[in-house]
Amino acid sequence: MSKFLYILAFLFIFSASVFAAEPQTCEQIPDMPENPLSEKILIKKYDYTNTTKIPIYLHIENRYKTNGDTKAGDELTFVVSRDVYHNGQLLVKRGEKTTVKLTHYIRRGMNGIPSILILEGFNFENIDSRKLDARFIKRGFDNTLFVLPLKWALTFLYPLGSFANFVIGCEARISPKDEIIIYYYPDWVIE
Amino acid sequence: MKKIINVLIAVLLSINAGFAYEMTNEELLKDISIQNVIDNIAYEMLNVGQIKQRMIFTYDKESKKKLLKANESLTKREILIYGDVVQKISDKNELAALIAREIVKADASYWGYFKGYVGSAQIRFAPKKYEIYFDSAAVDLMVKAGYNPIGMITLLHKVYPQRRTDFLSASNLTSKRVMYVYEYIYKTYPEFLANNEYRENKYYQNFLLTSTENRAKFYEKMKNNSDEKIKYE
Repeated sequence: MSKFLYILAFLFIFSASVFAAEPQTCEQIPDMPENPLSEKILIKKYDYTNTTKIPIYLHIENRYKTNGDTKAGDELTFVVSRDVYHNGQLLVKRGEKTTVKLTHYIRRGMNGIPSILILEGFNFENIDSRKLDARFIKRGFDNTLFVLPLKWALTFLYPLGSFANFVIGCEARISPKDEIIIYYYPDWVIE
Repeated sequence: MKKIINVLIAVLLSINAGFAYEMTNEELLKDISIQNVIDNIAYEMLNVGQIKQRMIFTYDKESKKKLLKANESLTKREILIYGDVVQKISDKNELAALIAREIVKADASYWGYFKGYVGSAQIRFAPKKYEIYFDSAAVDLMVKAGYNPIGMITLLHKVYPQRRTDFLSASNLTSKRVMYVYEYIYKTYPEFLANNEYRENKYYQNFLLTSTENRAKFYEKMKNNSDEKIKYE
């Protein structure tokens, strides 16, 4: 009987090894860029108790408008409009430039939906960028504001209301005249 | 008369007791612990991602009834995590991916005129436009909170079915969405692919198997340093 059990156990172990996952070969990824994950991205400790915030006024260097070629990763340059002080110390000088990547871009569409730009990652020399409330979102003009009432108003004249679906939203624009404010929280604890 | 009333009350009470949902302690503890895990991951992500909008998270062990329920992450900023999706999750990265995606969506519901009413309506009209953004922004949030973004690939691959086409559809083909996430990770956080913890994961391997042609197109694009948008299938 015990022999029979041994044989069973042996067969079980033997067959299990057949089903065991074999190490997979690596996927071939051409020219994988070597870009170790920045420690600055990871936040391990935080304390948002303090409410002190310092505004940083910026404007774009050159007029920018989204178009068919706009894609995430495009770079936009902003210029600081006013000196930034904290406790009497100059943190950011007027005229300092910062280049920001367009992190996400949502293309405009039907029903008057505008293009949306999302910019993150403003960097200044004397400021810890993790203490910046620095997400800037710019939307094109919202045609939805008149598309929806128009659609409802035309519902009675079927099918005219449905044509309102084809109204396309506006492109997002940033002009050098637009004042952009981002906030710096100097007393936040972020590690 | 008194007797009749007493009998009626007794019958009524017995009927109520019959309808009461019997929940065992084990079931209750399991639900509470799932809710705790969800809350832990979610609030950590909100803090680390420095998201200033309020939202809450509720574990609903029922499955989503699409026609009956409004999208509460857009209207009330209450994120419902459904039991049928949680059942398909196999690690913390996938759960984080699920939560991160809903956080990004609820955050976007604050955009636009009338305290986000217009923005939310647009997300409801054209979810296809926003889907790719939700996926990639959720990847950012996952990385900030210390999770592996490949979890987003395996989650999408397991949870969302594959339609025949996305022409005139409200959402993108899942194979496209997964490829856009793969492309985003490749360009933004390549170290996760270079030191891929998921290389021996069967779901990830299945994604690799099913995306062979799409990935070949993408690698070709990278080789040629092209900016052209790829038409994934």
